[in-house]
Amino acid sequence: MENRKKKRISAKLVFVILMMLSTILILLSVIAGDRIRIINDTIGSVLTPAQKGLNSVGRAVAGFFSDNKDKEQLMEENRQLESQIESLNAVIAENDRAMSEIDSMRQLLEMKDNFKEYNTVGASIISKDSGNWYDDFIIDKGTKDGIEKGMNVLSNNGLCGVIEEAYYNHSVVRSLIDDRSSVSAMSVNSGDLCFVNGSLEMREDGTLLVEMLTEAPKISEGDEIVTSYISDIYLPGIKIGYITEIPEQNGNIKTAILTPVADFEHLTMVLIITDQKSDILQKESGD
Amino acid sequence: MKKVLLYLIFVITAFFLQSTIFTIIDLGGLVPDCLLVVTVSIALIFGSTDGCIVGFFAGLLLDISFGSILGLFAMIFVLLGYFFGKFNRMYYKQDITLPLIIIALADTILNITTYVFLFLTRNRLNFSYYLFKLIIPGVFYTVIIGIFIYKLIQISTASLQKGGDKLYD
Repeated sequence: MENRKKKRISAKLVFVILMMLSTILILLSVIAGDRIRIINDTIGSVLTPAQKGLNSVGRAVAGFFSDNKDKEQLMEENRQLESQIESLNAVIAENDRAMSEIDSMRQLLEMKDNFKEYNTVGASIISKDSGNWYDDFIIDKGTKDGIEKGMNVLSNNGLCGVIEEAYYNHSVVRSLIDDRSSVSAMSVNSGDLCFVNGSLEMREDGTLLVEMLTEAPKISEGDEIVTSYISDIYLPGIKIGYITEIPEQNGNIKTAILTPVADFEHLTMVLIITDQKSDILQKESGD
Repeated sequence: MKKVLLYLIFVITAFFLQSTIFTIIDLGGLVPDCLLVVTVSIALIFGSTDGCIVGFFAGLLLDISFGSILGLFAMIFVLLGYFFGKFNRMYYKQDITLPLIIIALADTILNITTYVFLFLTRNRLNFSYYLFKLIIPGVFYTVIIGIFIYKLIQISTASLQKGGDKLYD
């Protein structure tokens, strides 16, 4: 602004400097990885409260058409109830699960009491990935609430994602339907191992792609798929969903289509299991 | 100084719009790329220098909040800001066709680069699917919202532009 004649020449200079700066950033984040997280953490922590507030504005706008009386109060109440239902449902499911098939599985795995109860934290979603390519979302709990990278995130009694990054007062969750998501899973009925992969192409139908790992798997429509015991990140036995379609494949079944129990279209509250598989494994080996 | 402040307001507002309000009132799972619109609008109205500076910070904001590689979007946005800043010579206030084309073009480039960098590298080859389901509808949505944002930026920076017009003649 000071010297207007110079401005056009300096455009190139500014361009070159900024390109170099972003190249350095890219190199840094590829090489240093976790060490430059401090940048994301600091700036993200400042942005989070604002997003939280604006999100309630957004919800209010969205809710305006459906309900006009005492919106905010009702929505606040609703949110609290939702989180209550969420945790109660999880408790019920947890009990059911513990009572039935898990018992036999636990014996099988000699995991005994360690998996009986998970500690959980409820969180609400404050913003979604600002683009159309990814399915990440941000929740209002972070390292100060004990959230760590790799923790499992549940919704509607089913797995819905994993903590991708945990910052001071917020965390990024990679949703199960994200194209990069891949979960090691198994069929409850047959014990066949598989991968449950998110797929952008299938997101529209709200389904996931199951990739079978075993030869000649014995799966059929309606089979329940849970997280497997071999995954490093996911705790075993968390419900993912049900097989809804097995496409015709000559002879050997290699893929199937799964409908998750979590409703990704209407996520507002999630439950985070604060126990991590790696901790539990460590504890076990220490005993 | 006033300009810097205005840019800051534009970028921050666009970021919050994009990451909060628009994700709740989304159409078919799509969100308009507001930050991109702000970047190319400023590039068109004020030229390459402003375009790539704003682009850098807008892209960085995206990287910080979601990206897995810090600096990737910053770089793409700097490139877009610089390139579309060249069209500043053809800018005049009443024209709406040029900004429309530029927003559409920039968003297409952004989407295709996203696809190439983040999907093609992971062996997702079904380009036509992404083109018809994500890129085209997304660009369309961005252009519609983008025209309003462009006009808003143009109106709120009207007092700053007069000098700018002479500058590039």
